[in-house]
Amino acid sequence: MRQLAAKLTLQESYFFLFLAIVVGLLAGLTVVCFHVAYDMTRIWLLGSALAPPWLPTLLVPTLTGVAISLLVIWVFPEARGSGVNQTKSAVYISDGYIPFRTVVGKFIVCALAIGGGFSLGPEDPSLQIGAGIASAMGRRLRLSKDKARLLAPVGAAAGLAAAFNAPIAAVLFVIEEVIGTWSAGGLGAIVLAAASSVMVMRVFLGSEPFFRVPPYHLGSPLELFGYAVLGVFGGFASLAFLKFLAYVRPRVRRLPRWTLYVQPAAAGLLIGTIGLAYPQVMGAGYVYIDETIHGQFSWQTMGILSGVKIAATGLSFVSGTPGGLFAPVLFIGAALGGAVGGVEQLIFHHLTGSIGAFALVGMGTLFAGFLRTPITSVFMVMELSGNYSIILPVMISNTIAYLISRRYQSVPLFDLLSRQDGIELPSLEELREQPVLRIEHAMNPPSFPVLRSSSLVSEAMAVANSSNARTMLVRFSTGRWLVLERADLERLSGEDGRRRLAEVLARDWLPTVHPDQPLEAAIGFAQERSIVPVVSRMDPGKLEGVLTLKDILETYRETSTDAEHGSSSSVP
Amino acid sequence: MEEVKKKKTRGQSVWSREAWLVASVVALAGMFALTGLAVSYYRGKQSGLAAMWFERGNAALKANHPRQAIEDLRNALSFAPNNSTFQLRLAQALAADNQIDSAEFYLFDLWSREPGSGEINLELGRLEARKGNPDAVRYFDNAIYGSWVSHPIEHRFETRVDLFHYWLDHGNQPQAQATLLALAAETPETDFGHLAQIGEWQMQAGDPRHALEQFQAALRVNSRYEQALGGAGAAEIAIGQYRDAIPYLRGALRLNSRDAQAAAGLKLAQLVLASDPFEIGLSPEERDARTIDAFLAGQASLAACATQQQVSVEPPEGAGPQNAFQQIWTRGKSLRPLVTHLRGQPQNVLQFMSFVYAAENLVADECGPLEGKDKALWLIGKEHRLTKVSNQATH
Repeated sequence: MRQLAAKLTLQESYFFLFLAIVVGLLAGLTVVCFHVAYDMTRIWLLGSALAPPWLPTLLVPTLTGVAISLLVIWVFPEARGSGVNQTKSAVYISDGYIPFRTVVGKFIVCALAIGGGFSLGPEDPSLQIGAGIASAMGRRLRLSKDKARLLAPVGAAAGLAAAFNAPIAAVLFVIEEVIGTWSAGGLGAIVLAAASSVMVMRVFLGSEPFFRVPPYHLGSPLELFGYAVLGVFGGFASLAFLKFLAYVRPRVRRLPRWTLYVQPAAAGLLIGTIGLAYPQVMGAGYVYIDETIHGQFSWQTMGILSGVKIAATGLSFVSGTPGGLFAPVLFIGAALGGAVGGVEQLIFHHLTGSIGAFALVGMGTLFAGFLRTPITSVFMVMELSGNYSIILPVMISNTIAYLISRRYQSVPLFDLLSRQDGIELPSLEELREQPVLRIEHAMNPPSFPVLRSSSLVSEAMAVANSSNARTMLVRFSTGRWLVLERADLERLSGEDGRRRLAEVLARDWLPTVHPDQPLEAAIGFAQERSIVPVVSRMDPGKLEGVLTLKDILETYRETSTDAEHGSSSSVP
Repeated sequence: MEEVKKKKTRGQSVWSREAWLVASVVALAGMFALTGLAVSYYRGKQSGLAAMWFERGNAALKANHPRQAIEDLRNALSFAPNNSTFQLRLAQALAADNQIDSAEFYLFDLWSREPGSGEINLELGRLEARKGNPDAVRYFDNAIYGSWVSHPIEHRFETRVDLFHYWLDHGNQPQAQATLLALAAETPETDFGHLAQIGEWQMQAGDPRHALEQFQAALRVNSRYEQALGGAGAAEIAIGQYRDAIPYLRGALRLNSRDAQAAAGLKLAQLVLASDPFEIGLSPEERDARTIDAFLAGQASLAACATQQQVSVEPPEGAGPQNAFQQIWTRGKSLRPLVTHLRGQPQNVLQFMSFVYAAENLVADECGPLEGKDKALWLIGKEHRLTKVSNQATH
């Protein structure tokens, strides 16, 4: 039996990949059920018409808000908050631990919130549901801390991919926002999980994209200016939304505890009131994104919709109602893009880009500006549209929006939310932009003689005497290096000065490094050896400089001092 | 010993790990089944709701309530976003509500997926035609040669009719006539209703000869088809064959004595035949009488129209004619002395009738459509001028 067990035992790495597929499938199935749950809830609560009658429009979000507050306070307190941040907390704080109760809570409460008309989306909860399932699997399988920590993002990618029907964007988002680094081991598992969850989702819900995007082609390069203008508008709209959350959320959180019972209901009532005039703002809004892409609204209506959706989503979110921001952000972006496109077409009749193209680019633009994930936003639009030619306008518009948002709001959304919650999670945007210290920044030119291994001991002694150096480096023809102390040289000189250094020196080779390597790569060597030669990659016998532990520590010290004084360009 | 213990524990834990994974796969199978059930219920519900809203939307569209139809069809589409039929119907509702750009978006989207669909091309053609966009012709052509899910012959007929109307609305009569000829060629010989209808359109397109052929073809299948009888009579009048028009028009009136158009046509044909001084076999007296009668009627008509337009037919004293009325009136006055010299002077008859034609032409231009004897005289003049030109060419 034990032999059979040994035969069937998978290698750790294969086991993890296999586990990623299982997690992906489970997450995919759960997200499909979640989709069914929130959509059926909408039909049951608000009816099947896109614009519900006035009474349910007012009552349903209000009463749903009451139910949500009771559920969140008494049954699922973990369901409150951003799924992305909770997943990040799990990864960085609790070794990948996400209570399964959170999965259940998110599923039920978010289905109720989205179905009840709150302006929230299913992607963020799906991400956390996937991460929660993965975490539970990891615990059950008693994975090591490292693997358990990695499994949560794997599940997160699977959940997000299934919710979005966009596996590439989901993988990129998790790498960009949750993990922050590209690691080969993790990437394989994340890709496998995302692919398997999307496969499951497509089996059950169909392989059609979420949005039916009209054909697009760039008529003239001059049209890119039109998209650049959209980038400016998108940047400032993102900023407005971010500032709203940054200002209102902490104030709402400071309200007395009893108000937690009424906050979602009050938000629901306000959303219902907005919904009487603009029912489009209620729920995730995918249908309306599709209509916007198909030019079903005038530019004036789209402009208003982008504004009221910001208000409705902001209210939903700051009231503590669990739910995601992705879908609303896409809605706002699409509406804003359509409005800007409509106005531009009024002014410049020769523009061939349709309102749909502007709406599509607008989705990516707001995503980049608001969520501050520029790479994900570009790939997301490409994946949703299935059109490669849209990439150029998207890149231009997204970059402009991203830069504007960064310029005027230094803290990105997820960091902002975690800081408001009193948790200091690593800012992946800051991490990405931290200057990388390299060996070339710390190395110094050698202040001592460099000898050849073919030199006679007497010659080396003469060089040592003339330079008065205590330490010397010896270069061998093979490109290897040795360190030679003056005391050793004097001893060798006393024994026989006519022998060559290569003959008498023990082969205790020095480790070498290259100038472009990260500085941290040299720390271990510098701790062991007094000198670490920095050599050229082209010619290992060519000395570029030397490195000591003191040099390394000095460089780190200078960098941190500069950072404290607010200088970002601290690299020497 | 410790090492062995460790290995044992690890072996057991690893085995239990794989076992858990197998159990997860089994659980997956169960979840697949459960999800399948949930999704099948969800799909059923969605399909039901989509069908319900679609029916409502269709009914609203048929009842000419496009706003309501748009709302209902959007609801339907929210449950079946990729349903081409729903999208097409929504585009039709949007077009009916004059939301041309919105309709166009849906149609272009559909077209990009099914560029060969006759139905989508026809709708796009209609939309572009409404916008006055010449691309309409391309879409109509695509629809004619595209694929149709059902009743392709009827739909292609419908498309050609739309194309014909497009040409006609844009004043391109040759293309309109050509489209109708193609339409006629594709219409079964036994389909007398459509043949007669094509004849009507050919009359509108100014092609009475081909129209007459269609009416006659229709009558060969159903000789008692009133529309074809009336149409054939009108076509005969349009090509100047008044005598041949009479039996058709009488036939139409026999079938429907209240057919005002046939009655008017018959009266006109009879008037032309009774007023025409160029009719072969007339006695000289009769020809003179008809000429003088036409001359007097022309003068009277000209004078009445001038009064209506508050214009004097007499030029001011000592001055020449100041306008068209005075010019023609003066010409008529110069003819009066010739009234007694008509006999044996056929060129004088021509001069009189030429005056009559000029007078009736002016009356038609200035005072609206001609009726009764005036119209008959105008038609005679028109016919005479053609004859004259033709005679000159012969000689």
